[in-house]
Amino acid sequence: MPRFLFTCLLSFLSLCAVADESSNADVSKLAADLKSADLNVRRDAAYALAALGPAAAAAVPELTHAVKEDRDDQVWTQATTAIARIGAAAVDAAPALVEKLNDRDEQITFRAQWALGKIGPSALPVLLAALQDPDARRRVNAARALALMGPAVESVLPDVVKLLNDDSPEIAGQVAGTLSSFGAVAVPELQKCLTHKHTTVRAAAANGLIAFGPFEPEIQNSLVQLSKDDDGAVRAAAVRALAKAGLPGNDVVAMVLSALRDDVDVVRAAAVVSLKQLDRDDKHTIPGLLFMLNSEDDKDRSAAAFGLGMLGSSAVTALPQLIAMLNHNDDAEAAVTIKTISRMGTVAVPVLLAASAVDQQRPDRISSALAAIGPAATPALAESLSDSAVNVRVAAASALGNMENVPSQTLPSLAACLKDDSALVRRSAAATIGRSQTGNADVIAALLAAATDSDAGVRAAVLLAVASVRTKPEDALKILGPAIEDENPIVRESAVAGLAKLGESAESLLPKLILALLDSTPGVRRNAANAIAALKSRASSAMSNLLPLLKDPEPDVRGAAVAAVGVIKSEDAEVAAAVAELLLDSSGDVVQSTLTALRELKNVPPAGLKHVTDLLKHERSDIRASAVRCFVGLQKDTSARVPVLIEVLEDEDWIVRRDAMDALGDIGGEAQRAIPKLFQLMSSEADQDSARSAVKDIDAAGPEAIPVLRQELESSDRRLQYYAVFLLGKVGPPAADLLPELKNLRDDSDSKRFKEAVQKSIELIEKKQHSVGDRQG
Amino acid sequence: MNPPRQKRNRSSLTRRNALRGLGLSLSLPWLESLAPVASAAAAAAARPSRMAFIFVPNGVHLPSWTPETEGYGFELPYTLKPLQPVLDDLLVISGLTHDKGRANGDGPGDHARSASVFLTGAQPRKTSGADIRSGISVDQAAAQAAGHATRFASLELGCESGRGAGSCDSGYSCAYSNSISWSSEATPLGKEINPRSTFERLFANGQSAEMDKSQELRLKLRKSVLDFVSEDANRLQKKLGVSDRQKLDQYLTGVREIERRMESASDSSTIETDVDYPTPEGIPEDYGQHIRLMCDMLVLAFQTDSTRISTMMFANAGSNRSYKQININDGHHELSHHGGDAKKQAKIRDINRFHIQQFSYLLQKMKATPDGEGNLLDHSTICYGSGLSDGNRHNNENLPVLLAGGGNGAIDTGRHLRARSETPMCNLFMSLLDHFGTPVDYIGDSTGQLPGLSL
Repeated sequence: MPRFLFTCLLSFLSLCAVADESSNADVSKLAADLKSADLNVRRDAAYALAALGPAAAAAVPELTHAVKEDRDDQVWTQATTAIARIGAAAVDAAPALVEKLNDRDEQITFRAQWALGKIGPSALPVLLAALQDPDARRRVNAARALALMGPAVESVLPDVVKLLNDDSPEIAGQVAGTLSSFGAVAVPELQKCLTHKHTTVRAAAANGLIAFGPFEPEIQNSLVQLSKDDDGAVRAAAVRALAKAGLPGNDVVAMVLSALRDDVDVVRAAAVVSLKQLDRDDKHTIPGLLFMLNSEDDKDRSAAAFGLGMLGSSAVTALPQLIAMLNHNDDAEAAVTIKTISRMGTVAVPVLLAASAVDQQRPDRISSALAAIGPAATPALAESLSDSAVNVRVAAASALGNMENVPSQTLPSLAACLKDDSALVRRSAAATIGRSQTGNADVIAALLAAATDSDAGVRAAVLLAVASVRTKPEDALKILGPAIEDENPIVRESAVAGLAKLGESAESLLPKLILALLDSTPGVRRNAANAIAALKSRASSAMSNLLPLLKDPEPDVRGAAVAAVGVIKSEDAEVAAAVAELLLDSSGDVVQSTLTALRELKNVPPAGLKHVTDLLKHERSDIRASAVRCFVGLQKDTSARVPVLIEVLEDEDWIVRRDAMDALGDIGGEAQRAIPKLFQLMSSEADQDSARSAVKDIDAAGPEAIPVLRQELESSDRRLQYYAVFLLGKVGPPAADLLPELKNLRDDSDSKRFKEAVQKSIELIEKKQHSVGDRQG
Repeated sequence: MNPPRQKRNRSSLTRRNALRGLGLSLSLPWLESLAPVASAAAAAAARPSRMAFIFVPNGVHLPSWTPETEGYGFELPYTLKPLQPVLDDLLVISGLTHDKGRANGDGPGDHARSASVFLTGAQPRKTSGADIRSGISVDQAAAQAAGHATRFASLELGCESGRGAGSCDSGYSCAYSNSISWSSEATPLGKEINPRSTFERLFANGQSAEMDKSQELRLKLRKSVLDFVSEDANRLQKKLGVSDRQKLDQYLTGVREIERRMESASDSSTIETDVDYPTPEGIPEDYGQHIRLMCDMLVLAFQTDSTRISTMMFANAGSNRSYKQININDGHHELSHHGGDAKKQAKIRDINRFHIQQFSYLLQKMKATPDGEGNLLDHSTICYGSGLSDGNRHNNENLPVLLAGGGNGAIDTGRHLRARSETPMCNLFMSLLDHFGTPVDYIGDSTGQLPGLSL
């Protein structure tokens, strides 16, 4: 038996030796492959070696070579990873990695730092030398690599600290940022940094200290001073550190609340973060914020409301005061308060509803606050629809309507509210049902039944709702038709607005709509024009009735009438002339509508085109944009269009410029004079898409473009270079002077596609040049 | 003499975590009554963290996506408006980059790269063959460290089928376009797109013969899983406190609701089928409904602690699906190459918003799901984004990224955070892995953690 066991043991050891030899052979082969001329072979080898971990140690020389020499990103990254995974045994690679610590690519410097960190203390000699390198980036990144080794190399801290004397604030700040990685031993150095001359160092030190709180009184005092620093980033770091400083609750809360009012947003954000941290452990925050809420200074009140909002439901004790603030006149402050309340969630719902029962409260703002809480408030609001207090029922119904989506489960209750004793409740319920756009047959039936409500306000809300939900058109018309002649103007206005929503389904009521154009109430006339517009070409018989409204005393009515004329369309010159007069209207909105309408009309008089051209310089950008589109539709003469559009390319508004670029692209080759300006716009993020599109569509360039195109040949943006090359080919012989530059560009490029493009342009210039020469010869 | 029989009391019961029936093991959410008393308080206070990653293709319309201001108190722009109900749980992050999604000398194939790089940060090898190579994705880095604690190490979900092999984008394998989870450099994980299959998987007991019989009976008799575990449920109810009885009731109602929606999805629908996307049985014809059902599966999986890590692709990279439910008949990918056309940009913006509406549905559902003392969203970190920024330019910087959920108090939400230009997205992943309790030295092209993420 022992002989058998011995034999087994021998066999096993032999197998291990064979396996070992085999894996050594693998590593050797992979190491050799790292120098292959075939990129894929090198990549595969690098990946494989990285996967081997310490077993790849024999390949360190080749891996080091790859780190030094290989230009492929994947090979380099995997070679570095392999070295990192080998660890201390790869110490010979450390100098090569240190060389990379000043690379411009952050990925490379990070990987190099990481790999050096993994090699560990055996890399100390080269890293300590690197701390004195003439190159600042290498010094900083060496410090970072040491920091990755953490407390294990705390002895090097004095050498790192020397770098804090660097003249560059950026470098010194980055070094300060590494100190905390060395552990608690760095705290005294961090403390000294709190009074450093560079703001970057002070900020980094305060941030670094956060991990080591609470602090001794001396550090606490320094942080308190720092919270009043001139520099915002320093104040922000100090405020964050104060939350961990261990100061008495009242004191630190006061400082943090003061930071909440800071002019610099990063300081305010830091204050919020500190508030959230303090609130976990400290009971002074909420009282402090409540105190601020009572300040006479509205900045204080806003800051306090904002801070309470950040604390969310834990600040619920502030609710009564916040609700009282809803009555303040300032809309902006009210909006902050509404948001604050909404963050408290469902705990705020009963308090808000109770407040709504008090007559002095602003019901619209209460309703907004309830809605802002969102779907979580739905059960409480649904229940409140049957509350004994009218104001509560109104607030609940309104709030449901103000939500992003009216909760469908509340619709039956809302339908029941259409029979409420209070007209206010009935009105709110109808409006909310309208916003739901429901198709629920029972709810729609309840709505239709409410159309004859005794209260005019309710009838008006019901009519709008009928048109907004999925009522059958014939049922809606039965209700809306008679209501056009209601004695109450609000009801008539809503009836006509409802018909506008029905669109072409309302055609049978065209005669009544035409009569409504003469209504004494401007809102009815306006809505009638809108409803007629919704009928589109089916309302052509109403054109003669619309034209007088172009001179209506109310701008809203004139705007609706001209829009309707544009939708219905006409080829009548008189119609176009009447509309063109509105280009001089005193109301910008009317002018806007007129520009849109004119595009749909034929036989616009010359005066109209002149007015449109003048409007290209209007003070309102939306009018200028509409003017561009209208101008393009009216001005048929390309030679007259192009210069005007090129001038519009100077507009300050990107939408106006975009519309001009689109128009130039549509013109095509005849717009080639726009190329220089379009090239300029290609460098702008807002314009580049439209500019490129226009250049492609124009697909031509003249000699005037040469200076710009020459400049773009040197652009760092390959796409711009490509366009420049392409268009120079289109320019032809006048671009012959650029042939040497083009040839250099072709020869220097390593992109096959780009070389081909340049060559093609060269051939075009030379061919055309030769053709011209031949003709001359 | 036998030792006296010990009186069993509730406090000495180990936590029972499933209702059982034929072929079924219906996992339960956390119920305090079932936990040993001594650990109940500690356990309820420290619910496990969950993590999920959601991918959308073709980038976004950035002007309608990026909030105008940074920090707290920002306004949600048009595309993100559906997230208003969960604004306080949301962190919008701008400025992150996936450099390895760029060509870097490999030429076309941006879409395939964008999906492959989304969670790996690794430059994929350009191949349509079997020699695919990317990197380990962040979800799998977490799953490999922590996945042993749950029944499934991770759950990969999707809403669009796709091949795992062959060329899908300019010489890149379909594996790159159709997967975002990679368990190793060469192993993309397939995703489940069928809600019914996912449901069965979550609630199966692992005994295949029983499972088959159970499914057959349920489908034939149109029975619910609840019908099969009702006896066990009744027995359990008697042992629970009032609050836990309500929780169990709510949970079982939710399960039944999901079953009903799957059933109605399988029935004939009035919605016009998109002939480019034939739907197998069990998958709703309505795309929005499909996404929401898969979101329900994710919530169920987290709620029952079946897994703590998940990914979901709302659609594959370069998806050209149309969105008839919002009256957009053009293909998504086609539209994304808008060339500055305002109408196309408006449609893209609406598609983006549609996706966000589904994401909002997921988050609101998580927020409404109790989990210990808080809710599921509080204890989760959900990352939503795309591997492309502007779909027209195919760029990989300033990516659209959202983070939702408190991550068990680790993430400071309710803000817009702008990272320094060219900050690797993988730096975000480094931070997430650290918060999740599974830190790594690096992932993809990370250069450290993302500052400013947490309190």
